[in-house]
Amino acid sequence: MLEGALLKLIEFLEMNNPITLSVILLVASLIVTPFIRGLIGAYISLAVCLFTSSILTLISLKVLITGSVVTLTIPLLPWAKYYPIDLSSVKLVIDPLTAYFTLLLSIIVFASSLYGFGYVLRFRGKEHLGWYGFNYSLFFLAMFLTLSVRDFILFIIFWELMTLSSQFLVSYEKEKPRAVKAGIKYFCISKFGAEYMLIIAITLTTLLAMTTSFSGVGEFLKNLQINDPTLYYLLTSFFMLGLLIKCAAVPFHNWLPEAHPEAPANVSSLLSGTMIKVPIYMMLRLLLDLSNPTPAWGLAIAIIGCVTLFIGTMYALIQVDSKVLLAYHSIGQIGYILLALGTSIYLYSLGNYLLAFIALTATLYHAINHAVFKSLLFLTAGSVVFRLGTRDLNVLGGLGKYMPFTAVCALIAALSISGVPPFNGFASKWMIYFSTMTSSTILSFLGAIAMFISSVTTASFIKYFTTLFTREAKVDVSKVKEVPAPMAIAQGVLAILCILLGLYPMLAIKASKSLAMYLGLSIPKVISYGPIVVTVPGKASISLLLIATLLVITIPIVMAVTKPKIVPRPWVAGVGIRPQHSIPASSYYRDFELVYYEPYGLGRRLYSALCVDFINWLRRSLPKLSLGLENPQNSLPIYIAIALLTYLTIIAGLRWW
Amino acid sequence: MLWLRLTYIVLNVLVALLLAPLLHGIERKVKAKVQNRIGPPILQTIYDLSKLYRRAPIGYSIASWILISMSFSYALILTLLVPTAFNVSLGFTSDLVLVIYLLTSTSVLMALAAIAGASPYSGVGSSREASLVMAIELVIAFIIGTLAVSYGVFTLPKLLPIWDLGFKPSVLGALTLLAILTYIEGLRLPFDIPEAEPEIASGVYVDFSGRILAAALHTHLLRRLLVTSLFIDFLLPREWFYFKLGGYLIDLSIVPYLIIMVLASVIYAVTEALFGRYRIDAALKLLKAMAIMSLGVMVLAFAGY
Repeated sequence: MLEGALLKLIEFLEMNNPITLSVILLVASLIVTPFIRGLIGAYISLAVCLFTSSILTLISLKVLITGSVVTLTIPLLPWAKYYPIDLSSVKLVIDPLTAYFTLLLSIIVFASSLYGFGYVLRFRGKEHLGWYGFNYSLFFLAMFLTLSVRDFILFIIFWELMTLSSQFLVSYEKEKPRAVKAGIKYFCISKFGAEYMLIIAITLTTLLAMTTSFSGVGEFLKNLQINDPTLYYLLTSFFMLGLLIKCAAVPFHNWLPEAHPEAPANVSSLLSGTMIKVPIYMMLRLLLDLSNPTPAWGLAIAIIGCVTLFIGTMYALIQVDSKVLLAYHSIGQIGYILLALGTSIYLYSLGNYLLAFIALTATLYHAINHAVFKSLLFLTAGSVVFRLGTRDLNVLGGLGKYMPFTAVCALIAALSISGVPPFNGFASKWMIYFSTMTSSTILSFLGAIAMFISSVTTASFIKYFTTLFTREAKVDVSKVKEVPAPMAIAQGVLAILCILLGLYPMLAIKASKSLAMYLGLSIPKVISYGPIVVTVPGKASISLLLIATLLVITIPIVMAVTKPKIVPRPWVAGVGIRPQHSIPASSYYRDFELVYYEPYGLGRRLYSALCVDFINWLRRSLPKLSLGLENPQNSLPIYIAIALLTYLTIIAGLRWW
Repeated sequence: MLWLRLTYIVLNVLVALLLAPLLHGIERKVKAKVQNRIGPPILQTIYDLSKLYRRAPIGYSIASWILISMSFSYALILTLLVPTAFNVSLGFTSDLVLVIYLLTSTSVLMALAAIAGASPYSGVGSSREASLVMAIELVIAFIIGTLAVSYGVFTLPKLLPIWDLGFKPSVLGALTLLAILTYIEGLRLPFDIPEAEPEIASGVYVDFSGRILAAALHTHLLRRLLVTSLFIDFLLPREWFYFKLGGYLIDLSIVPYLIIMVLASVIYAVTEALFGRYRIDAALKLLKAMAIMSLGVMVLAFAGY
């Protein structure tokens, strides 16, 4: 009997493809890990994720290169088939859009899992590592399934699972009050902000469209655009609100800088690198695939993106906690992606196909670039935490000498996110500038602001890198060693990707070409001579490979010319360098903050007006609902009340209408 | 013709490397004259650099050695991309945004290298340099925006000189602001805040010595030259100075280029003699005002003027 089952399983695997194997392995690890308290529990899950992410990387690359669509059906609950909800099977479709985001996801999962093999040693004997493994596998599985299902009900189920597992991972270190608090806040805002909105949107849309499949809803929405644009905008605005909260667009961003830093480092890298890209994927799906591009949404997303990148990065500049600084930059970089996405939608709807296509490429390209360098940055920050247990930039320093490999990786990532050529961040930012600025629309101004913000990013990472690795530390770092091999290799893989992705922009161009073909959008002539040059004929062209080659030639020559011989201890004012001499992280850009104070003042005023005053007003008005939690933002019941109230109002309003 | 092009490119690099310290010498001389001093000889900066290049270097950290070398390499690559003495550049990759980013990168790497030196003065210098980079970038972003809105082109060979594309009032405004920025980017006297010799003991350079100091100073001077060259390239119609000689195209635009560079240096030096150093917040406030002006210029361009 056992043999028969085994044969059936093999047959099933042969008939389908490695995706099924991946899903089965992940589910198996979900079943096993909760029972293993020790290190093995985490290792099983990490190994499975490592393996399945490599498989998914290959499959998604194949789909992107060949342009073919992979479809498969996995049986789920044969009895659960109530029209229009059908849970009898899960249909997975890997089309170019899914494939691209799956590629991004699986690359980051690969690096994070590898890193995890070293990092989880931190929790040995302190925490239940099986639960870590369980949530880690579940997180990966849920993200992959969210990207590949084609049914709204299943979509929202996996989306919920994604949030839930990530929330447990955020508050994994349960004796740290900060982690638990951040987890609760993240839970409140995701559930009663993002997910409620999405549930409202999905309930209404599927009820009105009488179907839950993406294709059916797509037809319905496209019809609606012609016949009843008001209803279309109403429905999509619920969707968009939920997605914007989930990807931490300003003004719905304040959960992210608390939640992402509290998770274990490799989970932070997954959260910032991949999870906040899932809403971007859904926006692409919703606004370019399921409906025709509209100028209103394009412009709205571009403006929200610009505000997001501005506020996110300006606030990142003043942070003094390594992972919080990175989390604020995640908001900023999501702003860049939203700006590119909005530009693409707006210009497609206006018929400017050339720039729209470049903006679409920039969206995809910056998404993967951000995933790679932000994950790497979180991993390097995690390496410092792993060795020293602190994230305070005011006291850290001097680690470059003791952790040289981590320092080099952090430098590469910092230069990438700053947009220093020839690293990958520059290539995608250049596409964003070109597509926005030369469009001669209102987007030109947004592009100019994005360009300014890029230099703020640079300044912020000067602070990040030097306070961690070069200047004198205030804590004792002399006994610090380089991180264990798995962590180092994971960092190295991502650092190499930072360089390769910049030198080889073909990947993104090819992906967006197959995506545009799949979506039926017109593809203009953007020439890319292999990895050499990206050019818009007669208008703009860059060749980062050339710059890189020149750098590889000149840097060693200059280094040979300037080679130092004697390395004495430096001294200042008659004494050796003391830790007190080094400039604290909080005063790096004090003058700049004082002169360019507007965003900070505005932020404070808005925060006090919206959050403190509004919540206080609510607390006064609804005294019984608030349970006296000290931080008004964490009042779970308030969020439930607001969400329920909105939900009921909208449903009632729609019925009446 | 390829060898001629290659010769021009090599000559460009060499001329830039020598011209940068020479112009600094001229500036020092002119400044001395304005202040009624005798001043150093014109070649003094070249002497200084050549002496430093021969000095056994005493580096503090490997990080600053690597980062200074990177910074210098970026400046060297820029001499291939921005037309200086001769109008040749690697046109297919010479992009306005790329050039601006490479310029910024030299400053950024310099600031990183300086903090690696661990002296509190260099730390203060770097943080000031980075603050200035941010404030300058806001102005530059709107200037690039103006050019992009007006012409829809990023490629430098297409943009230079600006006359071929048709002139607009907004572009005049943008170029005026760019002219002021060439002065500020050069970190000359009211803006030499990251260096601030009497105040923070040469700030970013305090920890460097010997060849590393030479490379750092050379990078700084090259950056000055490149920024001014970029501005001149916007206005100088170089085709007027092409001559055919036995089938070869001889580029004589080096003559007007040199004249303008020397003139610019004289203007810079006289201006420099007039000012004392700004406090960092005053400089940032000025740049903020300039940013608002450049935004105005971009709005003008957007309106079609």
